[in-house]
Amino acid sequence: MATKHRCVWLATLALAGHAAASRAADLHLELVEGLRSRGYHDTAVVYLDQIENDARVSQDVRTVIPFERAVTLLQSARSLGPEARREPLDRAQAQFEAFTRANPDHPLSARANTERARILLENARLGIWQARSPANKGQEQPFRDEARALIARARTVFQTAHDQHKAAWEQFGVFIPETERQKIEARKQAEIAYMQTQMDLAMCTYEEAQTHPRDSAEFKRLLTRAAEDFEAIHEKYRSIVVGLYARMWQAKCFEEQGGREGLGRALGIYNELLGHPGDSQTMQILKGHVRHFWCICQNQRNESQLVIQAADEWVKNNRVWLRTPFGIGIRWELVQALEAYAQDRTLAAKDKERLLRQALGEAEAISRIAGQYRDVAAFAVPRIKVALNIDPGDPRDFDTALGRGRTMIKPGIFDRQQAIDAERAGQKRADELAALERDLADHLRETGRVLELAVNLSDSKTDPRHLLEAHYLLAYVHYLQDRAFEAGVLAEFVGRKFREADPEFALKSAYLSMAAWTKVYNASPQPEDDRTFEVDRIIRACQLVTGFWPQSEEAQGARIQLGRIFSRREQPAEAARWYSEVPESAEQYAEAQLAAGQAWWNAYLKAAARRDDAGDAEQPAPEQLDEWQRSAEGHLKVGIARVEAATPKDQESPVDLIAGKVTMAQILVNRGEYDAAVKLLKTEPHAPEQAIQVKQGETRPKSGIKSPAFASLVYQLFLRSYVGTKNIDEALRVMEQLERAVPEGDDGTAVTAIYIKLGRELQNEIERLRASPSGNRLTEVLASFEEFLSALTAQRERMNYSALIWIAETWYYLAEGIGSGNLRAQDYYGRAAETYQDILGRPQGFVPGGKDLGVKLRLVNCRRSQGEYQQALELVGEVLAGQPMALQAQIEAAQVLQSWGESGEPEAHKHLREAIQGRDIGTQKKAVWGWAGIVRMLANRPEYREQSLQARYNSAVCRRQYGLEQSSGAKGKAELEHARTELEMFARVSGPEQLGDEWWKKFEGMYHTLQRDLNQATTPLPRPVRHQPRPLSAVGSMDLAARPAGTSARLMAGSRPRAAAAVPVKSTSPVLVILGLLVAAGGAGGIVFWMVQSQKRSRRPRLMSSAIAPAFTPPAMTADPSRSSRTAAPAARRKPAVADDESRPSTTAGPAPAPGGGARTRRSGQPPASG
Amino acid sequence: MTSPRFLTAAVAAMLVLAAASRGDAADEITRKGSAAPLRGEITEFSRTEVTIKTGLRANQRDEKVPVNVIARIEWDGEPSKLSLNRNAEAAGRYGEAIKGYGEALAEVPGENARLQTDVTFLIARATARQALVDPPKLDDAIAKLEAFRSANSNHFRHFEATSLLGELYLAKRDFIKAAPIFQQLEQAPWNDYKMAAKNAGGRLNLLNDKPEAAQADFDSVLAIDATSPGEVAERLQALLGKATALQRLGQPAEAQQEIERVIEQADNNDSETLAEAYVRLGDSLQAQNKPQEALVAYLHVDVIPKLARESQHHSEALLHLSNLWNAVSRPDRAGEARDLLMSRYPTSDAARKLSAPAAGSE
Repeated sequence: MATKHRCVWLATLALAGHAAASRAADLHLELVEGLRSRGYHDTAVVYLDQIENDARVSQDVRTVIPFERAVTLLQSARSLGPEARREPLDRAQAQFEAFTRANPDHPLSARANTERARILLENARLGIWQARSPANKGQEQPFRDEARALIARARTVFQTAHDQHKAAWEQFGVFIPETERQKIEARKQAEIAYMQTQMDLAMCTYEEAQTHPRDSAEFKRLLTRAAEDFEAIHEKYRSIVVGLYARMWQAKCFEEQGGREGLGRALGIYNELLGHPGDSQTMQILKGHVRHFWCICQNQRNESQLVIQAADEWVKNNRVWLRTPFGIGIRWELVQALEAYAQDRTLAAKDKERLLRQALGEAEAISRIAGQYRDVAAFAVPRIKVALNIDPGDPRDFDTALGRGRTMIKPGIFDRQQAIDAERAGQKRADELAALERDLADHLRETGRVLELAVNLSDSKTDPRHLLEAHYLLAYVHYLQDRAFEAGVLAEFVGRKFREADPEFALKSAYLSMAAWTKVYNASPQPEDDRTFEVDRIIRACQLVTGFWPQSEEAQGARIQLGRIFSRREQPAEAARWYSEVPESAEQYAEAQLAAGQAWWNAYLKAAARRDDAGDAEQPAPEQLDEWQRSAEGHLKVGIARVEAATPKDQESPVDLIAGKVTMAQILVNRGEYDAAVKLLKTEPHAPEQAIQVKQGETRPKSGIKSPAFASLVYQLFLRSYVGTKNIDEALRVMEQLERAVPEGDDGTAVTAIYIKLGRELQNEIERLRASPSGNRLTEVLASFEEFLSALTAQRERMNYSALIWIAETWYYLAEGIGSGNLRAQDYYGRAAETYQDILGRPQGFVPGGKDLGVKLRLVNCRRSQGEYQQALELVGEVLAGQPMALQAQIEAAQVLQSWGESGEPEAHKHLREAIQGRDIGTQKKAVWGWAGIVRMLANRPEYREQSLQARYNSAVCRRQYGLEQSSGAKGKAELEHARTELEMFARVSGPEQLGDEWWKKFEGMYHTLQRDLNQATTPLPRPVRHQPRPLSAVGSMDLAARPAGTSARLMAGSRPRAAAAVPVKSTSPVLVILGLLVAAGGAGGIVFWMVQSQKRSRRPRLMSSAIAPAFTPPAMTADPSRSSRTAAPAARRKPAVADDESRPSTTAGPAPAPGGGARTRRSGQPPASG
Repeated sequence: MTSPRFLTAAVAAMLVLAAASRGDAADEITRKGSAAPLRGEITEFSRTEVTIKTGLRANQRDEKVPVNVIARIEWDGEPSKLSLNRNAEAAGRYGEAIKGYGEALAEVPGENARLQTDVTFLIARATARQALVDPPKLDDAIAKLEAFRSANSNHFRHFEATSLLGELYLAKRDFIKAAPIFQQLEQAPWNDYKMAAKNAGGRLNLLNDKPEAAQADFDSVLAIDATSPGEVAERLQALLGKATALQRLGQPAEAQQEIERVIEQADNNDSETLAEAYVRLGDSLQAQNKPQEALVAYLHVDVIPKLARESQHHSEALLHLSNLWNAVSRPDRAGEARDLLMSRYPTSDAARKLSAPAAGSE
């Protein structure tokens, strides 16, 4: 019995992750894993070398170093080409062997054995590839013999591993109580390992078959045996991914046995697998492999058209997998199908050429990628070229090459784009359109090649203007190819370095670089806040234009663009300066004035909101703030007057104008000029109140000034004004309108969100007024609100859920605004809590379904703010009793404990430890996770990155405070040192790139504080170990088919229902979502600004409309500008068109620059003059 | 009214002028920084200058052109493909150039020894440039240049051959042989060659892991007043060397400043300097943990065709790009860069580094 337990424990330790052995082990091995996951394999090996003989490192860790080194080498090898792979594989194998020899009973020994065998099998595959390479024709046998010997060795090791894994799995028995989660998890892992080795053994048989000639009896015999083995596995595990893989390989065996029957059976299975409903990443990979095998099968049946269609579609929809082994395989099958179909004599010459060109492009691409198909593709390239009868001779001098390049752009590219346009307009068949698009892509590639050739043929005698043109055209082609980085780099280089050769052309080039970097920005997968680099590039390009050609029309567009960028960067003052620089003579003057006004106002709001931060050195002086407010008003007045004068009364109100007026109304509300604000919002022509109306029964559009968001903004200003004038009747009427304007759905969430936001705005306003030298306004506003809310509260019996939420939130934010230490604030918190309790006490059904949790948490928040920690904890405990995995409740619980710990109450500091480590509540063990628990639970959950980082930071804060509170110096020091070490180790695997500057600074600040507490010299927070750049293992790690059991987690995923996640992926409570949004929104300032920010987060952010593309016209095409603008348009449309409202930060609430973001687009497709 | 006789005489004079300017003997020397070549007959040369007889027959004169200002020489009667192959060499297509030079050499008549010698040098030069990105060819390249130098000690290509030979020894990390070669280069009568020799000394110190000494070498070059195009180019090389030294000394931000000066000042046609500058810029940005900015720096060398001709720098840039594209979530582009490196420069140091397994002990 004891032995059995020991075995289970060992298996648990091994399979749940040996890194869990100790915290120290965690840190070292976590660092190694972090390095590996970033592809820093060499650094990981160096680190392992360093700690191997370090006596401070525990023996547990040092024991597994050979194993870890082998794993690192193995991963490193998978990122290399086949030729380079052997050496690291051999070294990895040696390390695995060393490990198993020294630690035969170690829990990782079975895994080491399995990995060893996989390396042997992988080396055998290399031999099989080489035997099949055209380059080794006639010399196959030695490769085959070697491969067979390797497979035999692999099988022996796999068999041992198989027996070990089977025994480990069986040790767990059948029944494990649900409460023993770790044990259940360990059994699952053991089962996976066992399944893997079954697959490994079957794969050995399959691979052994490959070592025989395809027409031999041995080949067929072994394939039959392999098919039986795979079938047995499929039978056992048909509902999980490993079973599906087994099924796929069974079909592969049928396919390779050939004949109509074999192919038919294989295709049947492939179709069955392709029709599987799963679409997880694991399933996508599986289907990729199956699609590859399917194409092989269809090519064998001479169904080249079917292959072309399926492979084309797959390539189009699976760009991320293109370089995986199965992706390359599918592309190779496509090449073969294209070549075969091009032999069809009934095809027109043009179609035949198109097929061969596509085949050539794919074959050339494959021939550059290390792997199984490189050699065969390289052999195909000259063959296809011969079929195409190309390469009779490239141009041999610069002028000829440039001339050819020009012709290839016009009419070459233009005609093709027109054909695509026509095809789209005619809504022709998707496959015809796809063929045209492919043709354009091929043509663009060839054009780029010719232009590159031209540049390379230039010499000292080449006219610099022509050389500049060649560069410009090349950049333009890159742009059209969506190679925006290349276009940006080249165009910017030309704009900067060639400006003396031909200033006009250099300007065009600089402007093209602006567009290219904007494209990079728009295409970035990073969250908007993490696109600093992309924005910096756009700024650089814009400043190139404004710096060298300040008077040009392009410079005005660049200024608007810079204004927009700095607005997004929440640098409104800088934005305002750029907008303000647009001269009166410019076409965009009025819109720039409106934008400048709004930007100055946002600058004012932002700065005013920071006024309570006494240590803020960047805080502008009060005079400066007044100046910004005046500037805002001045620019808005000019902009409004200009646009209004230019807009007939009966014409639809321009967005810019309405947005400008609304911003102006905000300024008036802020100054307490409520009547003036109401007048501005109501006065015709172009009154915002009218502009937001929609016809009865009409649904509000999602964006624009009639959108629910904008309409609610206007009503909020009315509401705020009526609160200010204590006009309760009008306020209640506006609230009704507001509730009508915002679609309620079933739950009233939208209106609730607005009320909460209004409360937050109020808090901001109170904070600004608190900081203001004159205290009268604060007293006046507080009195006004108190009176208003009291009057409303008196009528609360007849109010609905949303209105009560508004009352509660407003009390709460009023309290926040005046500061929690204030007695009046305590009163307000109390009133908020009272209102929440009222809501919770209403009859069932009053609170929309699922929202109790959110309301309760707000109540907890109020109690915490009131300092009633015990009560807050009991409340949150009630929540957790019902929903123990509710993340927001866990965060609130930890926060309550932290606040309690920091309260200064006697013995309160013990709650700091609880805040970190969690605690029981009543009989619930570890009901509260604590910050450390939250960090653990959110590991590998990028969607909760912010919460995880905040929890990690709070953990450090608590530990520091706890350390400082210790009566024993040594104990306190140990806590501080612990906090410091944790930060250091975390930083070593994260680094500023992963954390972002803001978080990095925050962690570094805490690190320095801890160093000072410990009387240590302050040093920078260590960054991840610098590595020599090495390739990432993107391709190798996905090679599931080649290593069918290689990624255990994936094998369990997919078709079997997932085990319950430790943390709910999404909160079911909309209120929680609202609260999350509030946290995310921050408190930067005014309503318009808030709206802009919230829209910014909710949409895919775009800085500049891609409609800018038509404005770029290569110089050779200026003879026919109307045509050039038309034909350039498809390039912009290849990416989803950028809606104007997405391209501007201020669409709904601010000035609206011309779609396309610059001077050019105002001229309806007129290209810039060119030389 | 213009007399017909005058017209006839004017036309005849123009024809004579045209013929003379084309040159009866049409050797052609292109000088650095000058678009107008000198045409005429190269009558003699030494290590330091080439004499060309230019002008009308009636007014012919000898012009002595210092070797250090010569960008290119084209010979009267040279095979037409020679020019194409010079372009191929300039474009970094060394294999094609070497083959073409070989074919051209076979076409040169035996009696045209001057042309034969020059084409022999061109083969050695292209081989040397190829070897700088294909280290297994270093020995062959060194042998060719050594042979050329010993057989043509007073040839106008002498110093160019010396300079290239020094580079090859540096690439081979044979510092013992490189040092005296660069000392010989310092004997050249021109500032730019002297500066080049000092720069080479700095690079030697860098290779010997003596960044302080290297910085001193580069500073000594920077102290020289640079006016000619050759001197300016060497000054920029010194700035780049200094930047490398600063980086080794742990001052990447300072290195970046120096490199940006180089990029600003370098002539558009000085592709070698620009290519190296962008690679060094990428290095300094990587050292400052700015991978995206580094990507853009390296990308210059891949995207600007003239810079991509600089094989050594291009291969190095591709090595970094094969990693850095991941910083902008483009693993596909990382793969493309890697493929290009492995297919275009399969035996380069960069390709070797890319393929090398992780360092570590067993």
